Amino acid sequence: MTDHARGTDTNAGSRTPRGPVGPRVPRALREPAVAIAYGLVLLTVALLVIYPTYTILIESVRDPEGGLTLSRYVRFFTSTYFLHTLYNTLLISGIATALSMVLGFGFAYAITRTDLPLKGFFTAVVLVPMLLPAFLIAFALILLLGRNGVMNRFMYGVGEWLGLADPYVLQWVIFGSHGVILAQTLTFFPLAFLVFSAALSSIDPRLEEAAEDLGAGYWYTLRRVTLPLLAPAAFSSALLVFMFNASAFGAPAVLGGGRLFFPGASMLAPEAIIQILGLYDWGMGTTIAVILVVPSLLIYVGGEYYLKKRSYVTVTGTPTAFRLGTVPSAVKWTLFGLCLLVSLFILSIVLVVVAGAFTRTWGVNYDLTWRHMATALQASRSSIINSLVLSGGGAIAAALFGTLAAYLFTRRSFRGVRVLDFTAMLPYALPGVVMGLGFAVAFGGRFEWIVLTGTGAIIFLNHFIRRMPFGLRSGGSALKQIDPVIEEAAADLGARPVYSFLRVTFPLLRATIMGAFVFGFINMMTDITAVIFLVSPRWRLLSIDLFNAIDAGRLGVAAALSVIMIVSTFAVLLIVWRASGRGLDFLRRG
Amino acid sequence: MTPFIMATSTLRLDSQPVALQGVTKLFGNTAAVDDVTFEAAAGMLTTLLGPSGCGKTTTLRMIGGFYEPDAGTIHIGTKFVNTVPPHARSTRTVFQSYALFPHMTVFENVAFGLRATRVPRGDITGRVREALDLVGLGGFAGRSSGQLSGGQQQRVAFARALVTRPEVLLLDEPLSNLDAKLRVHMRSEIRTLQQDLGITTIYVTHDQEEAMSLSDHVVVMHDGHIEQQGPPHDIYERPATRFVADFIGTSNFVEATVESADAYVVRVAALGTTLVLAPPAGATLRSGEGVLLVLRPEHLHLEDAGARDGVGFAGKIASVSYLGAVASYDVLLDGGAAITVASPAPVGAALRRVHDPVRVRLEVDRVFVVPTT
Ligand SMILES: Nc1ncnc2c1ncn2[C@@H]1O[C@H](COP(=O)(O)OP(=O)(O)OP(=O)(O)O)[C@@H](O)[C@H]1O
Ligand SMILES: [Mg+2]
Repeated sequence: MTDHARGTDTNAGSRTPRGPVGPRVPRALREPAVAIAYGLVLLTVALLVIYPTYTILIESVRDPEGGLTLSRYVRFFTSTYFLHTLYNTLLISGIATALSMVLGFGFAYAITRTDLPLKGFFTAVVLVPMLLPAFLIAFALILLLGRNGVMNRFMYGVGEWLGLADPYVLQWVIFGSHGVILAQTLTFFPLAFLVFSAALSSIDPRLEEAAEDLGAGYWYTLRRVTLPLLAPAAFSSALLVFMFNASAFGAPAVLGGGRLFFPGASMLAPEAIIQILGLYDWGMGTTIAVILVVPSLLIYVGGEYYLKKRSYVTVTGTPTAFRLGTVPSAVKWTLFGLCLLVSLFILSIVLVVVAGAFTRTWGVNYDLTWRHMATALQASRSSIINSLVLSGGGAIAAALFGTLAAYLFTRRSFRGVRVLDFTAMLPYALPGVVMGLGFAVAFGGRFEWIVLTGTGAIIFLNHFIRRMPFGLRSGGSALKQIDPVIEEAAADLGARPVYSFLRVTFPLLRATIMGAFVFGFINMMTDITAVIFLVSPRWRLLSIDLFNAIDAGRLGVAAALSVIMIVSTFAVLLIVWRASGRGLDFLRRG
Repeated sequence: MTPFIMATSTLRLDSQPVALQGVTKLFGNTAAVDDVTFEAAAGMLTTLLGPSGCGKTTTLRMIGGFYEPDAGTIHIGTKFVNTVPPHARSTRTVFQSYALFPHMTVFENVAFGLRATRVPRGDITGRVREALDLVGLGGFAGRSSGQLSGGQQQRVAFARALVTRPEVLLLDEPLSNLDAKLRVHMRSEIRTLQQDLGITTIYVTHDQEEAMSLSDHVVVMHDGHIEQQGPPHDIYERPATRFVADFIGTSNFVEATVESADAYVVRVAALGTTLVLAPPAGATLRSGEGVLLVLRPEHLHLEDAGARDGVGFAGKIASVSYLGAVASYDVLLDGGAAITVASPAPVGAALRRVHDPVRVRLEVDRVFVVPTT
């Protein structure tokens, strides 16, 4: 041994014992700033996720005398009415999910794998439904296909012109299961589209080329290579779409009436709302919410688990272009027809809403008028401001907080963090009805602890926690793309965690944070299922006013409010977009 | 290629030694670094050398503070640093991928460490300029870090580390992303810079040539533990284990049996004869024990068949490869052993040919005995 090896003998006594005994306090938490941030996340999750979920559960089994009872669950599963609600939900959601998958796949395949014309147009149009509240699509369907809808009026005219005995026979009235299915398919297929197009473009094109090289034809390759590769992504997105369908409120409330597959009964989410806001039966309302939660959770957990196990989609880092134009032309033009039809239908939805806003009486008198717009602006002025302020603030908070949490969970992780991550993601999986009702119960007078009912804060917090998972997930995947060595370099150069986060990580995540903000903002503006439990005369919201107008059959005002919602949403996004270049820069320069 | 400009005036560094004692790092149940003890002396360049996966990076990251040892101690100077987070250590790392901040200019990259540690604003510009001049990138301050070649990025990484006047510089295969020619050039620049600044440097590499040419002290690692450490010539000339002999340079291994051994000489039976050799350092051999003889190709000499002086063995040439300055011959000895010999390529004369009968002469004082255990 050389001299070098000695020298430190004096330290031999301080040698710690060998073996996998880790230090008691996780290393990440020894940084005060990191520990504080974790504390904040834990508090938020406990207060805004666990506590409301827990109170719903308790409320559903609490009997009036203060004991515990399962009587409401027994009632639910023994009553034909409630069971029909459940069957309606399952049937309609199943069909709408299947249709969404087919449409989503068709669009994604056409856009990623063919050289069809109008691809840019299709890509833009397919995202439009994501910007619209679900019930707005349902409402537009009424303007198109309701009794006084333009198309049905037109068909009636055709019938008369043909001299039919019953000119109504040519009409296709949208109310009923088919209407709900159509509205929900249009609402949710863009989600399937996003998943499929991401998966399709991340399949290594060499796999399909290899199949062809081995003598497989187009259909054989599609069936034996492409589709199986997509299966995991398809399966998990189908679960997600099903979950959204099953907890949807807008379309069934607007188009369902009592005319679903099992007539007289509604679907689960609207039923929960009827129980509470119509019958003031909190016990039954929360029971239905719990019944919605259980499958949602199972689906969410199952999907995540399945996807982790079997994701074949490989990100190679060196994207190779697909050879477009190898798709048989019969397939190509069928897809083109489908895309064109759906796109035109979506456009007509937007068009009829705009037209409806400036038309005296829809279906009867098409004179141009400003009356609806004036009424809407006057009656809903404070709602508009509330919506913009609460959604704007909520979206900023959600994007920043979600990103911070993503940073903690990926970069300052320790054993047990996965549980926290899972819990923080829950609001994404939990139906809006559940989160809204949970807040109403948890922060209402029923548990006399924190009372927020009737305040703007309860809406803000609800917005925030429901859309925070966007920032968490997108931040997490963006962080996976950033080599951690960049942040190690910052620490190595003497930057403390907060400094390193603000000057290095945060600027690198700017685009992601913007994305989370935009998504959050749109969703908050258009949300209704959760906030319907939280609004008060003092704190009204644009989306709720719009829903009430539709519900009351004031189509003109509803259309005007829709236009206001779309225009103001876009205006805010545009302003933020323009300002963001400079707006976020100050954080860098300090 | 701009050379580093030597302007060391204000970059005077307060170098400190780094001492590792029994350091172990576990990933799961396997030890990536196992009971490692060495000292990187102040102002010297110490190399961690070893094949891929032997734990070099893990060791370096423990010194930089990115991992905490599961056992053992790390001292920088007299300070116990096991649990000190990276930002509070006086070490600076040049990462293999350079890890320049992509959203910052060259200037901002170099200034980062000064700003992060609240160096007075007025001092920053001057120090950054000086550091950039030092690495020959004076004119590049305003460039974005994405607009640099690999070699330039690496210089920025050096400037960024040195501008903060670290006590210890940590380099993880800093040359592996450069082409062969630039690598040799940068190697000597790094050495000059290191010696001029007198900065304690720990240098990780798997390239034995790099280690030999740069280091004051080489630590050879294998499977997480240290095989041997010492100055480069020691490692090269007196390999302590078969692994070291094999990893450093090319070697022939000949099996031998100890006939007798004492503190001064060892007699071994090998290649059908008895050789009297120097015993290995730090190991006592017993009669009858099997050992390996390490014969460096350049310490063997090809002679015409029939030559008699010194200790030699007859054989036939099995293959020849011409490498420019030297020719490498594989010789099949009459006893059956195959052995590689490197000899200076003759100028103007023909090489020996396959099947030529030859004699291979040993330099007995350059045959090393390595225990097989
Ligand atoms: N974060 C980690 N988790 C689990 N195992 C690890 C981790 N980092 C390294 N290892 C393992 O520890 C061993 C040593 O790794 P290390 O990176 O130190 O090797 P190295 O000597 O630097 O190799 P190379 O020359 O390839 O960079 C390897 O077997 C490696 O697989
Ligand atoms: Mg390494």
